[in-house]
Amino acid sequence: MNMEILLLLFPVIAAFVIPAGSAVKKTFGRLPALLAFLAGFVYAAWLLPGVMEAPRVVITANWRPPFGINFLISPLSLGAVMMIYAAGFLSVLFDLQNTEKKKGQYYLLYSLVITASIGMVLTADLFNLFVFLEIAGIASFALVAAGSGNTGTASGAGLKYLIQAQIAGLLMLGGIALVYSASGVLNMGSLSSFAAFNPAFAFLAGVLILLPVLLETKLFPFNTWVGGAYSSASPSFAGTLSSVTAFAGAVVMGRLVLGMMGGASAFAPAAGKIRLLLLVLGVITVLYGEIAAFREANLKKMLGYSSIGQMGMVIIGFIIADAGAVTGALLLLASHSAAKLLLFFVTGFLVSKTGTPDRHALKGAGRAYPFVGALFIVGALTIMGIPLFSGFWGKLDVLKGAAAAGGPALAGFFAILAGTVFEGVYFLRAGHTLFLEGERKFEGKPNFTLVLTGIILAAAVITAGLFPQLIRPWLESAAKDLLSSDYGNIILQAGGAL
Amino acid sequence: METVLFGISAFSLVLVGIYGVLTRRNIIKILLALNILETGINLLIVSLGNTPGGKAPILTGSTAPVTPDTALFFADPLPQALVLTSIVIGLGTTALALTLTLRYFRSRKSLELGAEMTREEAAE
Repeated sequence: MNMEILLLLFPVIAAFVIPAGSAVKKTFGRLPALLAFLAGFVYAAWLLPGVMEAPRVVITANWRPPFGINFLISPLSLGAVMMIYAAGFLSVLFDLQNTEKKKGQYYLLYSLVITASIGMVLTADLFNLFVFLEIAGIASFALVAAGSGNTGTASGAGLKYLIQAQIAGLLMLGGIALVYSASGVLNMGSLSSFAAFNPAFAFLAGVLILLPVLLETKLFPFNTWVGGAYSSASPSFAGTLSSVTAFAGAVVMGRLVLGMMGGASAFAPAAGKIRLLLLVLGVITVLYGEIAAFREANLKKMLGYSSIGQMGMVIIGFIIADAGAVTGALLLLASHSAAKLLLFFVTGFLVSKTGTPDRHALKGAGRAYPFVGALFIVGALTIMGIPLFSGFWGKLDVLKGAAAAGGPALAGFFAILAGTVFEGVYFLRAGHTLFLEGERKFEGKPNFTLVLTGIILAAAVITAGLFPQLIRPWLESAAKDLLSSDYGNIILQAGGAL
Repeated sequence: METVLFGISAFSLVLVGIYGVLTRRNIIKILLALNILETGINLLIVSLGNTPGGKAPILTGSTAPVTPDTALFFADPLPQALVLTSIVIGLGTTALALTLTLRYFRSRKSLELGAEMTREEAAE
């Protein structure tokens, strides 16, 4: 039996139940979504101890690798699944008491985004990866376009996202076709130990396959959709875009670049060039994102651009490909997800009070809502990478790795330092506006669900910051999993092909 | 020969599609260009899996060696299955994109991406 495939199925079941229930009661959708994400999280947590010892491979329809579609359940992918479920659960929880009531359709599409993100991190098949990217994409375009505010602006933002994602997706499909024609396999494990392609061919196919992943992780120059999408989407979905989608994208990126293209793979002749290209893009992305965030007065857009910068740092950490740097990049990725979700929740609440995402309208909001303001500061300090918060250890490890690697990685080192300075300036500026400026009157109390999700997320980043040894074992085995030259063997052995 | 012809057509369609997306501002034209691009990619997949003279891929139980005369000399079925999936995804995305375009047009009274807000809209 392949019970592990349930990891993917909980949200799919919810997505099927929601339309029926919504016909009876409009707000029904949130219940199945909430239950499905909780069940998925618990199931993943239950599997984790066993998977930490030995990864498992799910074989569908008895097609043994390298044929058929396989899911690799390893410390990295299972940890990612837990993060995705947790972020989805908290988003729905936050929405329970939100001012704008969401309908069944929202939860249906939201469940699909979660399913597709989980599929992406689990799958070991290139074409399957393409399909999951498209499912996540289609659901996300609709959710961006259905966001709050002006219909024209939201639809325009959704269309912009759709057009860019479609071009990237189709070019990836072209890359997959090239790989298949040259090798006859689509299994990522097989490709990681396949006879080498011609260098130019490997470079072309490799870059084409990476394009939609670059878009998901918002790497320069595939991030022009970010501003519009983040300011149009509802706060919880904007948080999801920056925590779930970007998280899944970065894990897939690591898997493709370090797993499928790492070591003695079919892509080996071009692996160095692809990594250098990604490093250059990562450096530009960090500077671009942080400077754009620095110039932005719209708080939601500012958080979106700051996400771009952070993802650049994560990719730089992956590219250095040394155990310490990859561990740091994974921690940075996880703390970014938690902190950004928290920041989007808080911003969503404040925006619902003032009616505009403009930073200047929020003068004094921190004094009116001290607890909410404090949550914002916790999120901001985590992103900045201040000691005592989890982001610090991640950034430190990536910086150490970059300094030790030398050469082109030094550009990454300085970009991260410069990016951190910008982060400090724009987050402290926002904190200053919240607490020290203006005397505006605010009415009403913070929602209970905001307080609850805020406490959970803040506790997570502070605990991980104070006691990093609590999550070290997972981080280290996930990093080992990413860097291991055994990636292909694990999958192929499961099929008895070796 | 036909494989080369397919390849050239596929490549031209991809280039036409990318050119269209990059140079047009009208949303409908961009979507048309995207569909041309998609057709090009689909043709590329089919042409890469093309086996000139291949038969329909149906298992017959024959154990004869694979030569152009035997039943086992068949076309690779996998690229065709992939193309089917890709066509369905393309259909779904195009439908969604047209819906969004309709919403955009109703609100902006324009099909240009990045059009200014209309006066009624700004007043809302």
